[in-house]
Amino acid sequence: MMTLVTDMMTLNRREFLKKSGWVAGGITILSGCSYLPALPTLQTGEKEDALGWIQLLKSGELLFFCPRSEMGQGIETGLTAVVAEELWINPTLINCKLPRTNQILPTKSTVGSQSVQDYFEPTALAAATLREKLRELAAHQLGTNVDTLSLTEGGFVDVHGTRIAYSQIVAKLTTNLVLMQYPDPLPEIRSLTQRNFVGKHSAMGQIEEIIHGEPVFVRDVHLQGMRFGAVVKPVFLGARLMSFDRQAAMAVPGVDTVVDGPADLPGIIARTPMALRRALDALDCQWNELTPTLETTIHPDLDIDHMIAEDALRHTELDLQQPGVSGAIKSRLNLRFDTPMLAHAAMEPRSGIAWVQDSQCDVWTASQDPFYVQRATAKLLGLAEDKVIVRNHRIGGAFGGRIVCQATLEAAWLSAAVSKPVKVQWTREDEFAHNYAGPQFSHRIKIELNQQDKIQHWQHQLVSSPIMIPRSLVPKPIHWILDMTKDKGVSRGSVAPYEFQSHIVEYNSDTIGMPTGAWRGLGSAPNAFAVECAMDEAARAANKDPVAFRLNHTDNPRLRKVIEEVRDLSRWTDKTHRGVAATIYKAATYVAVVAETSIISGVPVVNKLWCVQDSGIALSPDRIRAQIEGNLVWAVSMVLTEKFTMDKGIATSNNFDKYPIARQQHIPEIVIKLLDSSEKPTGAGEPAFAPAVAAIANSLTRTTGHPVRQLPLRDRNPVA
Amino acid sequence: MLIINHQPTEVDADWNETSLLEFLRDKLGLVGTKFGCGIGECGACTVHLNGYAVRSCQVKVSSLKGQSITTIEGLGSKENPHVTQQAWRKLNVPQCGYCQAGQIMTAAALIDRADHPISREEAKIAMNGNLCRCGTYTRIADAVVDASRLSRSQT
Repeated sequence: MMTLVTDMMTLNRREFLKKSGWVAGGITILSGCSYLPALPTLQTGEKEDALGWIQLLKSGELLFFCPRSEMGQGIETGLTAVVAEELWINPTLINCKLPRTNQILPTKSTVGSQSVQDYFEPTALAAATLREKLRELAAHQLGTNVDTLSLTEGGFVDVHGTRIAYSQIVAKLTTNLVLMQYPDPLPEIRSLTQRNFVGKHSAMGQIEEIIHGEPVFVRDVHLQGMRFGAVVKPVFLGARLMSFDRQAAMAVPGVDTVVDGPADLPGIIARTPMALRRALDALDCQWNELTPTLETTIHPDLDIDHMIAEDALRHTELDLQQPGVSGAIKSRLNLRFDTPMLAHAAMEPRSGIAWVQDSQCDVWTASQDPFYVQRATAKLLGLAEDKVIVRNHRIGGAFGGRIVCQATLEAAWLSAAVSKPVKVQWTREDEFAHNYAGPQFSHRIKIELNQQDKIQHWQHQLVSSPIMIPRSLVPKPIHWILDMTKDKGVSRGSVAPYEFQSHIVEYNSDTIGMPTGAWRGLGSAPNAFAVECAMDEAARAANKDPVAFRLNHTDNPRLRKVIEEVRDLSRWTDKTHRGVAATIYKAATYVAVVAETSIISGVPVVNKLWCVQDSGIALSPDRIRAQIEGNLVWAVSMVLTEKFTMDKGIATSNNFDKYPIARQQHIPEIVIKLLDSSEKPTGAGEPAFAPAVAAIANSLTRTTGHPVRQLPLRDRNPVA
Repeated sequence: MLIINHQPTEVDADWNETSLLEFLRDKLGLVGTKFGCGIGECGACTVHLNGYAVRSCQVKVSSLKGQSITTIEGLGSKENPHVTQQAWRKLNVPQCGYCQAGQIMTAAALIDRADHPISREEAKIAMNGNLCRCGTYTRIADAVVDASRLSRSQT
């Protein structure tokens, strides 16, 4: 069982495809085609893979390779608490590291608030297996039976009270301890019941480095002999480069060379950022004439009324007809809701470093999917995947926007030309213009309310554009496949979390002229905005308190609980202008939010937010609270200010002055309650966002008397 | 010549026309100061110039002869952290962490110059120029108040 692991096994391509999850998706054959680009990793971390995440070195160091990317969501903190609980050792003794791609087997992209849900159990089992192995070694050392040893902090104690510390066991190790298989039966998971570190641990990874300004991010990495590189980017969507002055750029002092980049656009490699900028200017790129490729107004395919009139909705998310007696209809509602395109606007503009030498490539990136970066780099350079080693760094934001790491691929291409390390750093304008946006959404909700004030019929129809597979990953001739495929990102949260006799949800996700993709919570916030605002309209039509009206439409105990708790926490009364909303996020996390707003000098202000969340056992309550705080701030930002605009293929929202996000002045008082739960832990990175958007909108509707049906509000004065 | 984190620092003529931010990061390797927007909108590149918080992306190196710059690296050490860094650690402020050096530098300048305890309202106004996409704003405001209290109890 004990094995010295000097190097991870290399996987052949077939195993790799299996490991990355695409075999199950039927994509194997396609993946063999050279024109198909690398695809994101779908594979969930398997229990068997988890044993390699936890390694006890003979030096006494306990290494934990965090199988998830860290972008501030605190997954390092949460999973470290689990390892600590299983072994009953102080978390500060665990060296939690982001692994290189040759240190662990591929794991799924860090997306969708799935990390805790999917990785809690494998992490716990792997740590528990190490614990049991140590118990075995302790028994051997003491000449006793394993059954006589009980776990205590930092070691074991026998029936006579004799203690053997982990350090004493480690002192006898002649090799590193990396386990290869689980005992049968599986060891007990202590994290489900014990609370020494689970539920308490809060120290976030890298906080010392962050508050003292030490190198943390890819941009902070400097390598000996490193060059600075850039690849020219189209000035507008679909722009064609007509000419450029290679000689002038080459003549700039400090320029190493000018190469043809991956998409036939020139790339420059220079010794300093200054020389790089001068050379980019000297290139004097001439483009084809600007053609109006995109309207500034709503795209007809994304206008729900146009699509309903054309009878063009293709996908059915839900068509539920419950038996029951239909009552007389008291009122009918027909409501439209719209939300704009949204930018990630991460604080860290993306950057990447690559060093190609001796037919291998070392990569420094910050990706939600380092194994995708490995595959994409290998494909780009024509290298075997195991010849590309990716070091993943802490990600400076962009939740959903850091799967495709273009800067890293650009660096790889440029480095291959000079065999020196090359760093590519996108500008803020690049970050806005050359990344995909969260798509705009357009909804119709039709409701029939019966005489008993119950919703008898609910129909939600919506249109948006693709999210799950960014259009940039798919060759143009097969974009239609995206349109024909059900996009679960678009439909996320489109089914109301309530019970109606008849409940229909239909949608489209149509490719439009510009790339769209994953943005925090995917469709959940636009969908909750429509669904929960429509619930409030129905409550108004029924002349019912919105909290009572919701409770009257659900028997789900966990949903009821968060609604009742937030009602009590906020001392809800229907007399005020407060708004409420709730969600069941991905059938796993339950959240309810109450918002209080006002209008000050004609400007909408969010005064206070209350949030109650049930995400099962809280591994690190402090980091979960931090995630909820962030989600509530995103909600304020989305309702009040955010809107990504393009004009004729040019991103007009290209910096923070033209894409304002919430600032300190916009932030309300926040009250959060996590429900004590013994359910298995679930995600917290996205769930609170969607109901907070809707609760704020519902409050503003009640405050102003003007229904909020379109976001953001900065475009219009709601009291005008 | 410049004084950077109390060290006299020569400037090659080559770097005169660049921003202080680029000089700090790419010439001196002081990478704690971050590039965020390049137009002075986000505050990620905030450093102290003669004790005042400024946007290093908006300051040309040639305009700084003989003046004193403090970056996050020079604010406090791990052994002897600035009160702002202590409060940041105590309240576990950062999420992704990218904007935090700028936040801390803006807060530290405010706290070091204040002649009275900083209220939460004052903290919010003073910190309005620093963007944080993760939404750590509530903890930032709380940490500024906490650091101010700590600072006054130490003097």
